Amino acid sequence: MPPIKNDFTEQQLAELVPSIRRYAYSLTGSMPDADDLLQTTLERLMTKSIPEGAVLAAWAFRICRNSWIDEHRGRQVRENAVHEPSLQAAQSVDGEQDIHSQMTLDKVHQAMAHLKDDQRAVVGLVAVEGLSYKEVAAVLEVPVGTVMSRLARARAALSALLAGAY
Amino acid sequence: MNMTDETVSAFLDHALSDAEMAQVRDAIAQDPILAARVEAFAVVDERLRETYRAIDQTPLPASVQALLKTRAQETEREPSAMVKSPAGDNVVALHGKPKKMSWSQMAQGLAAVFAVFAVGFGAAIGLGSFSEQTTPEFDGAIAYQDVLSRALSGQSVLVENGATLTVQLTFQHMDGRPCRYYSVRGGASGVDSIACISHGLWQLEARQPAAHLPSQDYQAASGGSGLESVLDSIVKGDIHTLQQERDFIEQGWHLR
Repeated sequence: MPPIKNDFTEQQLAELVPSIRRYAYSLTGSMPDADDLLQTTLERLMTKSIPEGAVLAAWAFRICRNSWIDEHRGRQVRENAVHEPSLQAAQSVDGEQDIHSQMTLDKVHQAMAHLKDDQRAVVGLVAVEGLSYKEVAAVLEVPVGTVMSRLARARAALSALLAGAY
Repeated sequence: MNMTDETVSAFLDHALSDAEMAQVRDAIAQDPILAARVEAFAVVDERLRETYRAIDQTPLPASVQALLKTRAQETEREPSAMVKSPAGDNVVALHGKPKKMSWSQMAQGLAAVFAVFAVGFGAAIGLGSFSEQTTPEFDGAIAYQDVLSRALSGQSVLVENGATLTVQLTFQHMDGRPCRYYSVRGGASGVDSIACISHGLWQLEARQPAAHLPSQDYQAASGGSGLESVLDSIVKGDIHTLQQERDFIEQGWHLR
């Protein structure tokens, strides 16, 4: 299938940015890393051709996930080897965020960090972005059944990890 | 039908057939352990959304804004590359399935809305790096016509200068018009507004500066606020469900 020019409008791109950013945050567990991943995703989206028939949002989510695996995940692993994961994950929304909120963020980030990469990639798209199983299957290029099983395992694991945390 | 974690998970996402959904509902009614499992999974989703939507409240990095600006300039120079006809368009929207909303989630959503009101009420007016303008050609009509007509509640859309607009809820005005409550946030400042359709355009009904939004923690506000009072006085019936919002969007927000 021949690739074609990436002829989406800036409006389409701008509408996607918050979703891609949240997804990047769910993958990286860090706002600065999420913004780095967002930038990488947008740069690749703008410079690489989109396959004919591809859905822009699905294509963007896929680039984001692949970029995370290619670069950011590796960097995160290296960083975590020398730092406490909880310190890596802790990011403040602003200077006045209360301790409870920060603890909540930390717990979620730490729980997500325990998931396998493929589970994490699914749960962010479904639970945070609200994509259907079919849409997630298209993003990750896996069967719908695989999406369902990964998602169920992710929710079960997160439920166990977060139990008693609140 | 086995009530596995996969079944519970698919039930939460409304990804089962109608018959299967009914089976799970019946099972939940009779099995407290299963009910607890469903609730536990729902809580997980809620925590994830609370956590990762927090990034919506932070401004986009300058480098990303510059990237988007560059893209806008490129497409301005190449107008032929911008738009294709819908029939032949290879770039189509991916419609994320809005999360189903239980009564408790809806109540929490409302609490969040009122928390925003509580924080914003009485705060100094100042919109920071962005401003929402009324369109000069129609007094009272607001600038975000397209976003308000297309976004579902809970979806955040980048509007300008790194600010995001999030529709919080949709309801019917006492006089029958569809209305939406929405927030625009840019950095530490923002504004909450209520707009209703009049003469085919979204018109501003009320606005409340929200100079600071600390988090998306759901906390019921103590005491009323300006917009809360407005809501109390103009909302007719229940807040619209996401399915009702979808219907409105598909039908172009025609009055019912």
